[in-house]
Amino acid sequence: MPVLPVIQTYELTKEYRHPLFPWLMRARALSHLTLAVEPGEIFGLLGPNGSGKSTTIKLILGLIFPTSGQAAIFGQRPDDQEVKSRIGFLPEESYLYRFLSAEETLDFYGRIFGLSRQDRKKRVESLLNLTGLWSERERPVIEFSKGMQRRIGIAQSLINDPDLVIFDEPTTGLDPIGTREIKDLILYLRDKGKTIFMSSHLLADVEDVCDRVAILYGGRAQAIGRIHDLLSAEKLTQITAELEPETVEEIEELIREREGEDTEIKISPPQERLEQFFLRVVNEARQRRDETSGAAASTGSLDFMDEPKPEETLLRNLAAGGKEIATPVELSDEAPTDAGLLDKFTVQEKSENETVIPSGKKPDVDHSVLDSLTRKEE
Amino acid sequence: MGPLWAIARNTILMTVRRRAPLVLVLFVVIAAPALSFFAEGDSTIAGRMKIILTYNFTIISALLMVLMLLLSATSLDSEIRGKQMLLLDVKPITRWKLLLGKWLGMILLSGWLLLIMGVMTYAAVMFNARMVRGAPEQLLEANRQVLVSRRSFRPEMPDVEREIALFEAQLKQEGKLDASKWDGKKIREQAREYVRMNLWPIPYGAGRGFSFKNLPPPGQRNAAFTVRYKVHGSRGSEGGGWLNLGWQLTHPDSGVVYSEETTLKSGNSKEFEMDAQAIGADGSLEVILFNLSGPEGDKPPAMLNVPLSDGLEVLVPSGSFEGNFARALFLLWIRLAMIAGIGIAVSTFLSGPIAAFFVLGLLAVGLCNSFVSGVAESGARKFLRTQTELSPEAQKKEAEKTGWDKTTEFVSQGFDAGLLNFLRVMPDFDKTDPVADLVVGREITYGRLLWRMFIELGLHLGIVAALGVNAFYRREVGLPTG
Repeated sequence: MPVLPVIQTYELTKEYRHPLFPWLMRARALSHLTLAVEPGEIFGLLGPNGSGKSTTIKLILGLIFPTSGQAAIFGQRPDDQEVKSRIGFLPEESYLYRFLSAEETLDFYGRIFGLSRQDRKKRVESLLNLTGLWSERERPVIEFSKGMQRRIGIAQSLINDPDLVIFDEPTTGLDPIGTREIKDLILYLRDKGKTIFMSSHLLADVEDVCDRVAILYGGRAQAIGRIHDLLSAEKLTQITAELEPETVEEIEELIREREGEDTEIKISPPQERLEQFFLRVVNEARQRRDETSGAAASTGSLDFMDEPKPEETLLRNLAAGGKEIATPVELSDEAPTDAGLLDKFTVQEKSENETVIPSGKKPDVDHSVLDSLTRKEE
Repeated sequence: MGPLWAIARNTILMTVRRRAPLVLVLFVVIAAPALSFFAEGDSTIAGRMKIILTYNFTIISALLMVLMLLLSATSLDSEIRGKQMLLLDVKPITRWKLLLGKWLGMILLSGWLLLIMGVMTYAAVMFNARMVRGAPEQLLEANRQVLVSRRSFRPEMPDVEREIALFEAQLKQEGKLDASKWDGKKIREQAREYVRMNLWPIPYGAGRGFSFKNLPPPGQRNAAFTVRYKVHGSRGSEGGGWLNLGWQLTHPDSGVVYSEETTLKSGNSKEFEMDAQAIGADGSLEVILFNLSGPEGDKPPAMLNVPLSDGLEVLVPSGSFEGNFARALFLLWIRLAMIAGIGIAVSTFLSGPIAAFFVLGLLAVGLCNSFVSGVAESGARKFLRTQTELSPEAQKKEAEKTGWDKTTEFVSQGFDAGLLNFLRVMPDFDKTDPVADLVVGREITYGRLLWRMFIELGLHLGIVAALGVNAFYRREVGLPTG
C-alpha cells in the first residue's frame, strides 16, 4: 500500500489582488507549486527573501486561501480539525501574547489542544527545560530577548506532540549555540518519527538537517530533490579529507598528469557546495528575468552618497561670500568675496585661500570658520 | 469546553493585565460614595436613593458599555494584526468557537465588573438610608417607594376601534383619503393614534374612568397596593402649572371605597397607597380621575391628559428590592453581552477603529431611539392632521406658515416613515432602561428578562453574529497586511 504524503500541493498558486479592483494584480507570491513531503523526512524550503516560502507554508496551513491549485495535509483539507491537532507550527516570528508569562503561554496552547491538567503540567515543564527557560518561566514574554521568544515559539509548536512540525525560519534571532540546538532538535524529532517541513534562507541550516529541499525563486520551484542528488554531479568526484596544502598540490598534479592538462579541478571546502548550488539556481532564475515579489537582483549604485552634504554646501557658500546660505550656488573661479560679512562672524584673520575655492577641485577648507560659527572649542 | 474556556480566559487576562477594568472600578469606588454624600435630590431619603441609583446605574452602564465596545471591537483585530492569530488558527479550534470564546470572556468579565459595581451601589443606597437620623417617616417613605418591588398593572385601553372605523369612513366620504399615498393599514394605524389622542383629554369638571382587570386578589403579601399616576395639563396654549385632581376608587360590589382631592404639578408623578380590599374578588378595580382645575386668574381651566405609556398604573407588591436590583443588573448585563457580541462580529470584517465606530453609532442610535421615534411619529401624525382635518385653504395657510410646500412635506413624511422603520429594527436602550423602573420600585419581571434576551441576544446579536461568523470563515488571517 503506498504511503500517503504528509504534505501535498498541486499547482498551488497565490496572487495578491487589489481588494476593491480585483482585476488589478499586486503580486504573484506563488506560482504552480507542486510538491509532496513524505512521512519521516525533513523537507527544506529554500529561497531568498520574498521568494514565496512563507506564502507556501500559510497556504498549506489554510491561513491564506489559494488563488488556484490545492494543498492537503495528511490527505485532508488544511482546516480539518483532526489534522490541525497533529500539527506543530512556528511562524517566522514567534508572535506571542505580551501579557502572558512563558509558562502561561505554553499552558494556554496546551488548553487549546484540550490537554488535561496533568499533561499540560508535564509537557510545559519538559519543554521549558528543553528550551532552557525553566528558570525564567514566570517572566512575561514581552521582557524576553528575541532568541528567548524564539525558544518559547518552538516550545509551543511541540506542546501537542505533533506528527508534522512546520518551522518557518526556525533559527531567526538565535545565536550560533541556539542555532545548533535547534538543528539537533530537528534531527531528534526526525528520529522520533516526526515529519519536519521547514523554510530557511540560511543554507547551512538546510544543508545540515534536510533530506530534501525545494529552492524557490519568484514564487516558482526552481529545483526540488534530495540535497545529495542536487549537489552530486555525474562524472565529478569529490574527495573529503583533512589535507595539507602540499598534499592538495600533489593530488592536483597527479590528476593533471593522469587525466590531461585540461581537466577542470575545483577545490573548496565541502560546506560551500549548497551555497554555490543555491546561488547558481537563483542567478539563473534572475538571468531568465523570472518575476519575483521579493527583492530583485541589486542594480544601480548609491548615488546619493556622491551628493555634497549640507555642511559642505554651507561652507562653500560661506567661503563664496555667504550671500545665499540657504540655496547652494555654483561657484566659479572668480566668485566674488564679501569679506565684511565674514568678518562679522569671525574675529580670526583669514588667509588668502579661504575665500575662493576653485571649482572642480577638492575644497581646501579652513575649519576655523565653521568652528567659530558653532562656537566649538578646538 | 477546554479550548473555549482557554480563549475566554485569555481574553479576560488580556484586559485585566492592561488594568482597564481596575480604572473603571476605581472610578466607581470614588464616584459612588461621593454621590451618596453630595446627592441631595428633593432632600428626602427616597429622593437621595433615587439619585444614587440613577447616577450609579448610568455611570456603570456607560463605562461598561464603552469598555465592552473598545474591547470587543479591537480584541480580534489586534490578534490578527499582531499575528497571534497565525498560531491560534492552526490549532484545533474552529473559528466560530474562537469568536464564542472571546465573547464568553467578555461577558464573564463584564459580569464580574457589574457585580462589583452593583454591590457598591447597593451599599451606597443602604448606607444612605442609615445615614439620616431622626426621620423615621422619610425612611418609611423610602422603604415604601424605593426599596420595594411592585408589579405594574395598566388600565385597559378604551375600545377605539369603533371610533377609528367611523373616522375612516368619514375621511373616505369627504374624499380626503388619497389611496395612492396611503395604504389602508397605515391609515388605520395612524388614525388609531389620532383618535386616542383626541379621546384621552379630560376637560374641567369631567371625569374619566379607568378599569383594571386581573389584579391579584388581596392576600397576606399584598395587603396594600399603590396607585401611581402622572398627569399633563394645559391651559389654553400654556402649560398647566399646578393641577387640582380628584380620585375615586370603586369596588365592583361595595361601591366607592376611597376618594381624594390632591394637587400635582403638570408632568410630575405621584402615588398613593390603598388597602387591597378595594380590589374585587375577580381582580377588577375602577379608578376615576376628575379634573378639578378651574380657571386661575385670567387663565382658562386646565385640560388634563394622562400619558398612554406611563400615565396610570397600579403597583402590587411582588418580590424584594434586592431581587429587582439583581434583575436590573442582569438587564444591563444582557445589553453589555449584546454590545460585546456585535463588536466582535463586526470586527471580523472591519478593522478595529472602524468596528469601534460602528458599535458607537449603534449605541448612539440605541440611546436616542425613543426620542427620535417620537419626533418622527409626531411628524407623521401632524401630516395626517393637515391632510385630513384642515380645509384646502387652511392647508395652504399651514404650508405658507411653515414654508413647506406639499412636495417637501411628502418627502419629509416619507423620510419620517423610513426612519421609523429603521429605528424599529434598531436597539432601543432608552425605552428599555431598567433604572427607570428600579427607582420607582416597579418590578422587572423574569418574563421581561427573557424577552430582552430574545430581542437583544437572539435577534439583534443573532443576525450580526451570523454575518460576522460567515465573514470570519472567509477571512485570510495570514495575509501580510493582517
